[in-house]
Amino acid sequence: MPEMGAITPPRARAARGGAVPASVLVAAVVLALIALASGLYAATGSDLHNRTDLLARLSPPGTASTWIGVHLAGTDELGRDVLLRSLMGSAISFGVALAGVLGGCLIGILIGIFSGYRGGWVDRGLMVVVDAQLALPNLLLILCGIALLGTSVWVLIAMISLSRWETYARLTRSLVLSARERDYVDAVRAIGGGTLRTVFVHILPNIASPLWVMLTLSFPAVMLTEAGLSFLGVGVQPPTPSLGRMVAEGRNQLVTAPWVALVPALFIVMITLSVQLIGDWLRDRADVRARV
Amino acid sequence: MKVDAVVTPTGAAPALGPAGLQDASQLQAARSAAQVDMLLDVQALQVGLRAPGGQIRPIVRAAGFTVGRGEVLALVGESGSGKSLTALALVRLFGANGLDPRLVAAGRAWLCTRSGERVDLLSLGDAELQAIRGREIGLIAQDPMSALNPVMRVIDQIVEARQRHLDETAAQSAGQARRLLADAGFGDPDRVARCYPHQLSGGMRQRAMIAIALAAQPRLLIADEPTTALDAAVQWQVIDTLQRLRAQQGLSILFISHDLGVVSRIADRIAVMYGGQVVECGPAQEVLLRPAHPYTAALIDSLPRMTPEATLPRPIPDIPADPLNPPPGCAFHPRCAHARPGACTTQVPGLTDLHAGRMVRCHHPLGRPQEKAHG
Amino acid sequence: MDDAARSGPVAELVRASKAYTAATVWRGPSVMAVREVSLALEAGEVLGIVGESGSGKSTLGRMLAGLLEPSAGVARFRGRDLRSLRGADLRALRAEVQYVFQNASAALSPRRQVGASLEEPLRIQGGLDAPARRQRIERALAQVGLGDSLLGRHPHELSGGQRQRAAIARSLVLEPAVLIADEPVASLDVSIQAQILQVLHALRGASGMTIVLISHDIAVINALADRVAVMHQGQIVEIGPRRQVLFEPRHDYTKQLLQACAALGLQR
Repeated sequence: MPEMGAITPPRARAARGGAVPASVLVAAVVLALIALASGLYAATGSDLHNRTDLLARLSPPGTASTWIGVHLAGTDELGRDVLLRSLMGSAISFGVALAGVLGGCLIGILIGIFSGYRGGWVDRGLMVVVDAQLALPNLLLILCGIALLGTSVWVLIAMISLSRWETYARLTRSLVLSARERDYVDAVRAIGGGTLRTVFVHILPNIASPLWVMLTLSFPAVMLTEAGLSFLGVGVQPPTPSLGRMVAEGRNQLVTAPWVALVPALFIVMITLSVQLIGDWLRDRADVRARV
Repeated sequence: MKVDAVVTPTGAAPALGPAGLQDASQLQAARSAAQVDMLLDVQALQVGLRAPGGQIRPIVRAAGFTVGRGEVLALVGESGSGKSLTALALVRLFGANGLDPRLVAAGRAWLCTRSGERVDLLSLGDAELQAIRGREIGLIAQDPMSALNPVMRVIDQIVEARQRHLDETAAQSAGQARRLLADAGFGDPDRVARCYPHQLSGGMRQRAMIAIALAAQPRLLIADEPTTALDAAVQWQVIDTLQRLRAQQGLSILFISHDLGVVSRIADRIAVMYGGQVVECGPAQEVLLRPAHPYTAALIDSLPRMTPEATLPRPIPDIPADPLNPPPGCAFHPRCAHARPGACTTQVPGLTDLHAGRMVRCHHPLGRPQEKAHG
Repeated sequence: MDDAARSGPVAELVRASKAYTAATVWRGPSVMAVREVSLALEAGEVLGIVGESGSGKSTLGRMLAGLLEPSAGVARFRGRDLRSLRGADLRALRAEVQYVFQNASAALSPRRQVGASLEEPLRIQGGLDAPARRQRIERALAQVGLGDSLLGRHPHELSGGQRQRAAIARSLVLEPAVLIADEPVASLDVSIQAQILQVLHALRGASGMTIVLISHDIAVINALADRVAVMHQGQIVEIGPRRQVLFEPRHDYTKQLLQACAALGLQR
């Protein structure tokens, strides 16, 4: 069928997908600021966030401080600066969540590709495993793992990866299944390309777009999982600060000194909401481009 | 909802009731005498794209053609010729992607309605246009799978169209629906009526679309590439259906296609479009056997032929002109074997009358029958 | 053995069938896309395969090219069973039999420059250094009537006809003995179709290439083919020289197909 003449000039098409909404820009800026601040702070290796000052415990935000000038977010029940702890906690949470997502993605995408491309019994077998894992609640799995293997950060990351790989595997598999039927796969085989080349040079770039979006969108969920685990006390262990645990510890002072819990909570919200907004926008853009 | 009010060309108040209509139809009768049964009279139609800056870039320029009662006019052209836009501009259903608010149309498109009124389709408001669509003009879209509602049975879609325009009970509509399906060539209309679109094959879907388009008994059918997506054998069924309907009901058809073979079978008259303009118009056999415009001639030559001597078709060099950025002067001159320096490269040719019924837009139209290399 | 192989048909199918089964947990209903087809392709000829959509002609073409394994029967190239080829032998086969897809974007990835897509087959096959590869590419482009300037562009910057010609060029860089073109002109404008047909005609004349042309358009087949095979519901119902099959058909289905086409053809 001959193509319809291009009624929409290419420029107009780009404009439709190119305008970045204000909310996304704000989200990106917020995220960048937090990432920069917490990253720089963590990089300095400083221990200031652990510095206690019992005389200044539970001071409200804006209190002048003996050692840092002013406590911008107040202090907690041990006199530690809440802002610095939040920044450090953000860095830790960021790191754990990122590692967890990447680990899960790596396992999940590889298994998904293998399963989708090979098909047959391999595919069916792997999908049975996926379905089995889906039946088990995430948190329970992780708790079991931690109970068995201890509470080190690496165990945490590993368990988070293992709890999420099946989501990535299923998406990748379905993308590969439909990509496999496309002519370009046959075209690569027709010129002598093997499985590796077909999958990694041709199929993967074509399905990368939704995969990126999936990665971005699962990040907030993972962060919240980690925060939840820390809240329960089985995540990152003291004295390493964690946003989730800070919220848990601040519960007791919620009425008298709300900033102890609210500031880390605010950080959690800002990070996850920003990533969510950016991920949503990325997905919408990918849809528009895919449709057009 | 039902069509009783119609805007008269002079913009006078809508004529309601028999008395008002009588006056209007007397006026119409006088005009008709000069018009000779012209169902659709398109004059100087322009379709443009409104750029973000506000200015309008023309795509279709000064298209003009007529469709008589019971006549099939084929609008022929390749991609970028503007043929689909032209036809869809009449009912303002634009674009392969649905309503595109950036497309604007200007000009005059006079439709002779069943009540005898002459209305300008391009100046109607939305409500009036809705009354026209389906009742006066039926539309068959290019891709039946996306044009038919996948979650409604065929009979429901026909009944919906009838109920929208006609004053009858649901049962009556259902009965008429079966008759319409039989007319569309279905041997088992009851079974087809109960089917969902995905249960029908491509050709059957297309004929179901014809039945739906004709549900409210319009007198003009706009068929946008109805055979393009179909196999040869099935194309024949669809063409056959359309011809039968034309013979039985005096249906007029505006047939848009790029397939000259199909067109040669069904069209009475052909209008060839290139680069957003009508470049040739006339009786079908005349245009195909003795083309006056070099593009028409080259197009015919570039088709593979079913002759025992295998002859290779002659391609037209380069690519079709982009209607948004046509070459200066005649849009076809860069590819034309007969182009001469002078007017061809500088002046856009106007539409000239050759003889009764034939028009061509060319500075140097082909005067005599072309000698063909093959028999 | 080699001489015997060379004097025989260059490719053949012997009672080949292809069945597709719905892939569910239990074995679903199967569709026979091709049933017990035997076909011998002679070197240097242009074989046209014509049929409606769903007749199995694409599947047949892919079996001939070795892109699909027959569920039953044998597919051979130069006398060797395709199923027995592995690794380097399989790659060598790919260099000899090339497939042109209906949609040019199958061969030309939208993310890469045309030049990179054209070079890819040569890289996979190996054995040629960069200047030699470049030479092959330029020769292939010349055969389809395109210039070097396209190499640096992306597919969406080319017109439909140029894209299809570039896709054909990609099949030519390996200098195959057999070219299987699956609906090469179906998605193109009418006046551009003629350009592609000229390219195919030139290929057959200049390099003696064996061409299999698959199309639902009988007129296209008539313009190029020496022999014509008519397919219907997975079987070849008639096969023979072009003039005979298209103008003195024997099988009822062929007559039916021609009736429908003749009714739409321009009799000039």
